[in-house]
Amino acid sequence: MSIALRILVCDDDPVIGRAILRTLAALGHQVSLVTDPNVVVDRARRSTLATDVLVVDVMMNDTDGPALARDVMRHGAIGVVFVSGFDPDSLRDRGIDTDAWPFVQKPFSRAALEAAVVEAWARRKASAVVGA
Amino acid sequence: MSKVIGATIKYIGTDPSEHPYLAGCNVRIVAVLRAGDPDDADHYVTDDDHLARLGGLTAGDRVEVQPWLAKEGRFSFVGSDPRVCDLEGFETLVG
Repeated sequence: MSIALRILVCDDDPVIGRAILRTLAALGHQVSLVTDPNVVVDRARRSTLATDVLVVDVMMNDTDGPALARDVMRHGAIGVVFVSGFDPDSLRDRGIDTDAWPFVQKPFSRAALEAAVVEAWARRKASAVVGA
Repeated sequence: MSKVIGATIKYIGTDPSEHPYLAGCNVRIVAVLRAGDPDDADHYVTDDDHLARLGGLTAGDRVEVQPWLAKEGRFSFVGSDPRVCDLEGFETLVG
């Protein structure tokens, strides 16, 4: 891997969240984990997120990943990766659209997670150039 | 080493702080969350060859599982992460 990104993992299952964190840490990224999506929104609102890419579980108890991503991006640009045990079609059937950002289905491979993170970061950078 | 990833096994745990909603369910193992302090790259394992190189499953590990939904004839998309020791006959999978 050529770039170490600051990655925030948000998953309300701490065991799986920790698995994602450790997988990304093994790739050289600087990773932290939160299990409460409200913490992510609060940090974004206070401009203390300090994150390049948000890796977020799609189906959480109090919210869903795309809704959280939209809340966060109202406060600033960020790369996003959606992670779920559901496939995108099943999520769409439930009214949740994950098309806007890279998607990784659980169980995830290290390669798939890394590719998604890199793609999310590239999209984030491209959007910054367009918006400049 | 027995096949672990993809194995279907019954959840028999009774600890209410674990996964009581899985009681009696057949679950499919899709990943192993290794106990102890493995290297970060060896914590979440999704294939048997990788697991075998690490010495196989241990009773202290957790596994990511998908419960079987009999009415729908498929495994759930929703995963859980029970302890290996809460799976019926887990001894056959260990080592």
